[in-house]
Amino acid sequence: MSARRTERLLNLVFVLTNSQRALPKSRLRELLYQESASAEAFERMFERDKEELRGMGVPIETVSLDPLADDDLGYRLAKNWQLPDISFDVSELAVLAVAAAAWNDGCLAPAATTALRKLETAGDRSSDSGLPVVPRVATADPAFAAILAAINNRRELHFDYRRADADVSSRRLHPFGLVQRHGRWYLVGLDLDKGEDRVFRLSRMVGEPRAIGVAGVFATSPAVQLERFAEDLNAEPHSEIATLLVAPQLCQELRRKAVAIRVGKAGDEIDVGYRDVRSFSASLASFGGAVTVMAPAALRDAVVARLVAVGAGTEPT
Amino acid sequence: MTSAPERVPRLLALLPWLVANPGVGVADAASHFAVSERELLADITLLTMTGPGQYGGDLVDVQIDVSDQIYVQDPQSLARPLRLTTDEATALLVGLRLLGQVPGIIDRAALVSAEAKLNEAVLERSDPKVIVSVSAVDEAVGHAVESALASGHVLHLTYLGATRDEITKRKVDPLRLLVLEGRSYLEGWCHSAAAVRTFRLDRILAAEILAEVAAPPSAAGPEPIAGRLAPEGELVTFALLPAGTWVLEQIPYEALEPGPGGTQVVTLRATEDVWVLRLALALGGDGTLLAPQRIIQLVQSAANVALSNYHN
Repeated sequence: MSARRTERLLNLVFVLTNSQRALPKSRLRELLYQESASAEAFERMFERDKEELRGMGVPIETVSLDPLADDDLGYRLAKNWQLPDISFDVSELAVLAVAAAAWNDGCLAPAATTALRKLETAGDRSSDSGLPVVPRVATADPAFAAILAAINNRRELHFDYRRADADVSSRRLHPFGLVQRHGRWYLVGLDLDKGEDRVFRLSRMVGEPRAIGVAGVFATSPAVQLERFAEDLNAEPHSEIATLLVAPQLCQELRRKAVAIRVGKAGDEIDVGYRDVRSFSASLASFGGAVTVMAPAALRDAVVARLVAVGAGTEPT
Repeated sequence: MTSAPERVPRLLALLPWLVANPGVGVADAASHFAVSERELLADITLLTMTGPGQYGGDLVDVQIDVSDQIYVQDPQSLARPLRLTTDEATALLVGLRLLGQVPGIIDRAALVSAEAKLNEAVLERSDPKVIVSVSAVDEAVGHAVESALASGHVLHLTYLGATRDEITKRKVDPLRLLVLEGRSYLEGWCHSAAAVRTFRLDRILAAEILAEVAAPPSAAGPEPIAGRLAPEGELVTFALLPAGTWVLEQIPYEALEPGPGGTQVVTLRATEDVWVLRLALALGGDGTLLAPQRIIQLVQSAANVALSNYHN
């Protein structure tokens, strides 16, 4: 954006904040768009400026100035445009500063900085918080910003998605929200082809997701629903129980997860819950000879297959 | 220069902030808004060309005195900032909720009241659309770490080192708490390693606060927050089949290129052989270790030892 355009956008904000009543388009043209040669050029520039400012969160309202003529439009800022009369104390600003720092290099970093600077005008000036806590919200996924915009604008989202078995398919979604667990981002939304709510990993999206059509095509999903998805992701229900023989003093991570431990001479027998054969067999294989799967057979076979694939040995008899 | 969509919001926030901080220095203001001094001066110059009209009294007036202190003489109608946008509110709210899940010397009352006031400051109130969850930590461990950080005492940790599959006991001078990728970590000066080490809180099996006062060497400042793989590590190469590409989602890597037979060849850095060995075993046939040769042999023999368990 040129400095000239930045200047014009700011002037538009000043003119609107300075006026008690809605200003007709013609007046705005007179004040700010004298350079535009034709009425058409003015319309184009003004529409673009107005939408850009709205996109930045400047609440420009369109009102009809003449109840009998629909095309006689005026513009003003929403009544509540200004930060209300609130005040933050030093400890509140300190936690807000640490909270804003969580976006360090993430895609909301500029928004976090601007937000903090706005709130600081309503509080005691604080320097660095000095709190020995450094949170980071990783948003390395390039798709994050586009997805968040689609969620906030309630637009349909299209993307290609690779399943765990490497199959790629196109998805159409009403995106409700983003949930992060163990540093991984998940998108929650209504899958328009499946007709039900689904969860997608951002890291498995292929290419750029695309927002399609107009804004506001679906109702916002209540917070409880998104929280429920976050809880489901956290709960990780164990549908299966494995019985494992672990070497003495080894497999500490597995021992911690065990629901039962039977101490033996050659090693200990432990019962551990798991959900998915594919990922649990990978985890077990990583312990090498320190763990032997006793049951179930499907898990045992999966671990053996992994070991055979990397070992130079022969199939067990 | 700053990219276009960031500058206007920054300018709109800068003016009221300067009003609230009369006499602030150019350098301070620049670092506060995360821009260079040159950019800040350009911002101020641009602001003084704006206002509801085109003539003197209708323009913003900002003066910078000889000692580089900034004074706003006339902010026009922007003495106070605009309300927070959805993105701005989301950014702070997610950060606050993140802190709320973490043990540490965070003032809980301040978190709650800051969030309540934040909700007053938004343009349109809506339910949060972004939720970040942090793995739960054992309460006793969390409490001990919190107290030790606050009081500056040495912690005695019983720690599960997952990569080496061993439980160790060590004395640590706590430095700070990190929350990365949904997990909490204690960073501290480890007496036995004589180095700054990072401990995952959910792998601390027990934590005891000692009477000994923490006295980390002055050079033991906070380490830059890097990925989990040290830059000085050895280069390691895997060929991944599609079913093994989960590695790319979990581990930072140096390079990725297409390989033969629909594989992707990923190069990463590792400091411990056992870490590479365990990754290779976990991948099974979904990926093949291509280098270094030394570890390829380790992997083969480890797999064969494990297979012998199943021969009986």
